[in-house]
Amino acid sequence: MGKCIVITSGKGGVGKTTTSANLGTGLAKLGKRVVLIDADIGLRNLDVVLGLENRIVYDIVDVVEGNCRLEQALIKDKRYSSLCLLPAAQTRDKTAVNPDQMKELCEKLKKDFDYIVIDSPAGIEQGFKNAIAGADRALVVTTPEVSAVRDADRIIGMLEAEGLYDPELIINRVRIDMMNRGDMMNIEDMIEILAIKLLGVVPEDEKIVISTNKGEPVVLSDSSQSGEAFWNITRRLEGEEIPLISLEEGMLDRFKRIVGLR
Amino acid sequence: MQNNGVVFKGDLEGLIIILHDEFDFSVIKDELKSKFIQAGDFFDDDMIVRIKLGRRHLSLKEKKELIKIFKNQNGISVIEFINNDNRFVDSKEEGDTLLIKRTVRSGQTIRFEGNIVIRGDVNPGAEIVAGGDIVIMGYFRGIGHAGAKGDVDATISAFRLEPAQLRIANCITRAPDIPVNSPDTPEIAFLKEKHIIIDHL
Repeated sequence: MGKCIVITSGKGGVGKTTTSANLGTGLAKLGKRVVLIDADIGLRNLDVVLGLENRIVYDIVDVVEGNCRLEQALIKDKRYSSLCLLPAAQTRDKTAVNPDQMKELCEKLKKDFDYIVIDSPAGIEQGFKNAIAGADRALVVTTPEVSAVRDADRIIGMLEAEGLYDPELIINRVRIDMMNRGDMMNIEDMIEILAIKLLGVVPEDEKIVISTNKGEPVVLSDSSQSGEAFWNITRRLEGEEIPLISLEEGMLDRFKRIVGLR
Repeated sequence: MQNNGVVFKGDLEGLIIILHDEFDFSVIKDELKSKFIQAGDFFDDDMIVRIKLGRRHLSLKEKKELIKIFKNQNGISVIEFINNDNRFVDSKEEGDTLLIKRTVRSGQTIRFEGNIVIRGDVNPGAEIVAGGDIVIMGYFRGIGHAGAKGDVDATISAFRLEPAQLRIANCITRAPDIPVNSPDTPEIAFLKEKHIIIDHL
């Protein structure tokens, strides 16, 4: 039986889809059978980030409505054959699926996959409720902004109300220089407020933009800080104990970067 | 000598002597002796005496000392010690209390007619509304309303009081626009002449 993980945040634009794509790809890189579900019906993105948009024939609504078999809607990834995507419908909205159908879908997928990673839409309405319906474990993505932390707090409360206790936190788009200057919320303050386990910290990285546009998850590139962070999170998901990478760039690293070694 | 640590009461069954538990045992003993001297020969018939000890626990030696005092007094035959084991204040007097053992998060509201005690933090965007007092054993960063039914004596206290807004009865106050460095000590908010005052606890 596989495990079903939902990636959620409340606030939009904090990096749920990027995180989903990278963790899904990372798990596949570890040799796991993974299916990514895009639960953002009407505003689908995950297919784009994975570079699979032109392969979509059927989507999640087709599966739920019985227009196709589940296997027909699953799109195989270009890079890893053990990775699949169940895309969202673009022409429908969140009400096209209900939580019970979602739960049933997850149960079915659990038989064939090690991991089911659900990319939740922003907000706390039906889309969110659908996304968490079948999940066994929740990851909350936030950024070091007061508004994002506030929303994350709300989401953690709602997850607990739905019986998803002990969600884990991913802090995305961290700028260590701003944090050191005191211009950005620091990690300790965020953890103190949210009071959940920290799974990882991902630095702000322009490579994310490039990789998203190219449809190549950054976790596959060895040279980026954000890719390394996502890779570490992936391995922590699998139960490995990996210390948080020091985000402070040492003098040696800076020197290497200047001379082009990194 | 008028401590009132010892109170005599009568009912159909006999005499009840209440020994208040706030007083020192030696004070109680002395007062009891002097009360008996005042009473003189009041206790003529065989009287059943019940002694209410409240929360006080007597050692065997202390009990024997008390019994000795009673034996010197004529007319008292049976002595019974009654301990009030209910260590809590009568809830009807103080109002019921709701205990919450978790963090109260943004968007969550806790409402209760009596007092509310939170063993955890109250995060920004959370709301606590109590008919009585509010006690937060953690950070309080949300909105609190104590004495929501008009009790002006209600208070809001927290290990770290950094609320967005405080309301007591029908008075309201909010955090200053420029964040102040609040002390790393517990604080209490209460109402004084229609102003909400925050003081060290």
